[in-house]
Amino acid sequence: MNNSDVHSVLIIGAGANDIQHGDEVDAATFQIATEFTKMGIHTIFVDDNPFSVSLESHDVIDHSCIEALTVENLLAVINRYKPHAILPTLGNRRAFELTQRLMDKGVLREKGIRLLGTPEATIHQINNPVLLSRTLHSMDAPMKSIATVNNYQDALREANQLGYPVIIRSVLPKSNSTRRIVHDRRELAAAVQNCLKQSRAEQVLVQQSLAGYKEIEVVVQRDQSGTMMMLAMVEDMDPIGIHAGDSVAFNPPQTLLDRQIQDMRDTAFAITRKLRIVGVNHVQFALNPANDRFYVIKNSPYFDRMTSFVAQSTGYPVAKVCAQLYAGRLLRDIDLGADYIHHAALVEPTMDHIAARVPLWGFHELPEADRQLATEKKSVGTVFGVGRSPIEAVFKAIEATHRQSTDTRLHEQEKLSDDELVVKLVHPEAGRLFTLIEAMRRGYSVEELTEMTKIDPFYFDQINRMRLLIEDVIVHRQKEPMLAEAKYYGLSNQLIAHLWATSPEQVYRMAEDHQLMAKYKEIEPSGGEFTQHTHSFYAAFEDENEVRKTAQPSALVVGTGGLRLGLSNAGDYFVAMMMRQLHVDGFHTIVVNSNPGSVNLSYPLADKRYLEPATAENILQIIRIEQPRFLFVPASYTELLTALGKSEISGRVVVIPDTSRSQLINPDQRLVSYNFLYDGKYAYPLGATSNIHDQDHADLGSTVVQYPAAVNGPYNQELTERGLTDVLKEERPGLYQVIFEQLASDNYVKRRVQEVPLTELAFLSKALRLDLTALFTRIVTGQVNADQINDFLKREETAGTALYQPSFPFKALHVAGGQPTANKIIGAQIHFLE
Amino acid sequence: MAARYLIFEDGTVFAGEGFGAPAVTFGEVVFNTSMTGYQEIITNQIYNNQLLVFTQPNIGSTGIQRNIYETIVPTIKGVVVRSLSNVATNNVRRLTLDQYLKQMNIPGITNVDTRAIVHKLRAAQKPLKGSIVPVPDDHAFDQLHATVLTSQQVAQVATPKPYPNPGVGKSVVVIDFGLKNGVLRQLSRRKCNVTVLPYTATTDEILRLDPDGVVLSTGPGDPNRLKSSILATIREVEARVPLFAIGLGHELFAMANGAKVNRQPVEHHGMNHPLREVITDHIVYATQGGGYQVDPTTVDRTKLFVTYVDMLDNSIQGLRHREYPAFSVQFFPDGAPGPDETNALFDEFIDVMNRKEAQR
Repeated sequence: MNNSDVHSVLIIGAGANDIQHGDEVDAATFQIATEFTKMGIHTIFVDDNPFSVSLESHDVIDHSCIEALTVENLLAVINRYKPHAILPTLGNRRAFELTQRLMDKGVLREKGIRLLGTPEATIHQINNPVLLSRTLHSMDAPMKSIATVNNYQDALREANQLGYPVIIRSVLPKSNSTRRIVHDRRELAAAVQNCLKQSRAEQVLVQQSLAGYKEIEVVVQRDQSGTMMMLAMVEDMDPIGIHAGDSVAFNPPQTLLDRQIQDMRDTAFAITRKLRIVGVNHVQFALNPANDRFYVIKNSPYFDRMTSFVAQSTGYPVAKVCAQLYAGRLLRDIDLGADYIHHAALVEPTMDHIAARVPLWGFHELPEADRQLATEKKSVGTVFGVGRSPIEAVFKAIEATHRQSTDTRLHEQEKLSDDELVVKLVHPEAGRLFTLIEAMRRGYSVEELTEMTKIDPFYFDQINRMRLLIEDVIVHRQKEPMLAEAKYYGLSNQLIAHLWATSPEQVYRMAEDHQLMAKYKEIEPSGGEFTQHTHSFYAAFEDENEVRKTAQPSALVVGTGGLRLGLSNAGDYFVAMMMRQLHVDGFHTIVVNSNPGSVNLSYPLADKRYLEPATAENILQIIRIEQPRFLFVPASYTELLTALGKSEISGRVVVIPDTSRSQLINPDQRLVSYNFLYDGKYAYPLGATSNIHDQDHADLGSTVVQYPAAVNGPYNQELTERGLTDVLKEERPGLYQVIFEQLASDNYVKRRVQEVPLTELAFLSKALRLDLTALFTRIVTGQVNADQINDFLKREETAGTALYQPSFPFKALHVAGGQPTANKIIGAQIHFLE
Repeated sequence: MAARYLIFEDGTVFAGEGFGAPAVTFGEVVFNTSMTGYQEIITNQIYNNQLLVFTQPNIGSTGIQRNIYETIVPTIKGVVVRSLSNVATNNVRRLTLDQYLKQMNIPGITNVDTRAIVHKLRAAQKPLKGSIVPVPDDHAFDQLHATVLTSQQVAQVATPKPYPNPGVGKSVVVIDFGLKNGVLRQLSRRKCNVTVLPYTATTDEILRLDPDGVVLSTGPGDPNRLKSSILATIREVEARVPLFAIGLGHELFAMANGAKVNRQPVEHHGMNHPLREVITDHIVYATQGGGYQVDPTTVDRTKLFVTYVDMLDNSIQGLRHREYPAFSVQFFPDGAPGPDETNALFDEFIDVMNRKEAQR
């Protein structure tokens, strides 16, 4: 197959973030569209995620269609733009389902539209586990026994035959959360009934449980000539039984033998070949460590959280290469430019560092959610740490979660009774690592813990070393050799300060006095064998420093970190759009972030990346190296902002308003928000939004927002003027909103003035078709005058009424009767009323 | 752990901590970029005379397994790692890496900046001598300067006596230049009846066994240092019996047929280079290791043709004889550790032996 006649591609987007996916697909879409554009391929992108950067990237997306992801809408887009091909690998499983429905309607054949990345037959296979398992059986790929049934009696018979525990799953599920581990006959009936209900085919799968086995994830890549390579293998610390996304994960794997690795690699290759996948394929395995036998448990030939983790942790430009593979280029013909050696795309990534990924939870916003970990994913985001030892990587990852200090969390565990601890060991909960450290402290043997948790003894060795290190630090208060050792193993100044009952500043000064400053190593995919530059760096307290100050004027941007409820990926959206503008204005962009899925780590946006937790010590050291003109810091990083306030630093600090929230207190309130751009001198009205109350959105309370607001003309004028007066009193330029509550049809009471929440800002930009972030950026960097602002705002064209509709993780986290409020949103959709 | 230092002749010192045997050691410093299989790598005899730096930072996390040694007594001079894990948990991995290296009298050093060392080795563009010492004083440097590394590497590691590895299939003679068990494992899997002979075996000694095929094994060091009688033996054998040569064996096979073998400025050890099979244009990955390669400008005049090429440096990775059923690869087709994709070369060897038999 030659794709040289593909001149335009329809990319099916991923829609609102949910528990299964964050902004990693947006990041991949943005990079792939960038490559397509370079190759002269037109891009048509359909999505309805208001936080999508790709949707507003008109330089790389030729036609961005803000539409709900339905077959009807896709058909309309196809008729309008007549794409030569469809790319279904950037919209998760749903894009595969939508593609199949387009195929079933005969659309592809009728219009001669090609599929990129995966042939039609494979779309069927991925959508139907029964078909896939038949194929895998036929090629002798190791699979656990699985049976399809449509009633309880048959399910019972199969379960008895397989032996408990068994997994019950829906065939063609209506939602994502349709997996149940069933331990005995008592639990079976409910699970079967539930999963039957969730199945569009009214069938369920009965599958032997692999709980307790090691979970291994492999990412391989194939071009259309059949050349295959392995990009990475990632090992989950937690065994099967805990969702891979909720586990601590390591790249490269730490406890696997070469023969296990090679066997799984061979199988991943065989499957990828059999399914004739072009591009990435993510294969998940369950490995029984007792006898080396392994089973294929999932095959996902699309971009997901694993592909982004692999790309960021290896330095291999996965999306950049894949785009070219989709366009029909061969791996051997791909040129990655001057930063890489010739044929770099063909070199299997090798790492001389370790990346540890940890989950982020939403329990702070949803305290009523069950913290117990099982086969359904519960985490809402992820961050990673990079180090030169597993311990260093894990300490950094924990720091990057920006939660309580490690020692505080350990103290919480110390309060547990022995019985409580055992329960937590056997039925793991979020934050399990700390429970494991406590268990080691209480003297449980590695054998006991391995038995209870099915975690490889290696990890207990590491956990114990972490524990001993912390104890050592406590004993050797204010000692230089101890500080050197602690830094070498990735302990943050915050943690050390906690353990020494002092301040992080004092620890920083002590480190300075003893020349214990971080050096930076490049994440480079040949393990040092070649001179290549990914411009991604991590800190290491070793001999060599590889980072140099960026020659051009630069802006240092601290990302908003891992995804969290309430912000979703609006933080990443804002930071990315800001970086794009900084780029346009001639700044070199340097980003500090530890969310592997973040779009602002993508190469077209970031000239340099520091994959480090955004702590004061890291930022101060990076400032020292880079001496940026501007420093952008999220408002939620309060400790960092305080520390920066106390330090003498070059460059101006600009706060990213990521803490501003919609102000709804109770669902009956009717609020109208008047939005303004304030340049420090003038305020420019941007129109108003209001929350809506109607029957259609009853289950969303009043979190649905519409633009323009439903306010009668005369009041509109009056409220705009009242708002304007208030905004002009603000100290700093920025984007503000003045919130009024409507008490009666003619009675509006002002409630407060605040910065526009980033979620609403993203929505408003799309509703107004104005890049408000760009304007914000130019104002805060002093790159724009009043005339230019007026000009910019004049280009506004009305796009009609737009609705912002958030979604909540209540169902996924099994929270009954969850109250929808702005701080709990996990994602959102935007749509325009006809 | 006690302080220990990796020192170089130019005065560079890398401070770290010792593990394994507490002895002073000398050797050529080389690095390996493989991310898996440290046990197989450490026990590969190609590292005779060498101090090996692992670029994969964490080594030791799977302990020592009883069934994956590549040789019984490894002769590597030292092991250099960034982060050492000492794990030993059950009856198949009773030993930690540290314990094993102590038993084998091999020193190790950990907590050193391995990436900086790799950069140093690459910048030098020539092999560097190094030493692991307890104190980096003048005496240590004097000793390092004075040390002359042996050139009798094959003699140190190859078996002095023949031994059998019986099977029911093809009779294969393996000439041992520093054999890697992976080769025997692959032949066993194919039921071969193997006799391992010392590298000094004469043509008569080989042919007396009436083998269906002969394997020239991998091994350490410079093939130019070996006696030319070996090349004569290869020429005599290849004319009569199917031959499969690997690593050092491949280099000797090339030399026996008139090509030249040179030292690479920086040794390449790893498993991630794309290798192109010339005849099919397929790209495969395999473990590579060693400091020598066949000079491509010298192959044209021989009866050999190139079968595999490393796409990164265009080095020759495989050869075949135009007239005889004899072929060779520079890389390790047995994996252990490394990709299995070229295991099929052993099947090809069996096929060649079968065809030869059919002609008889």
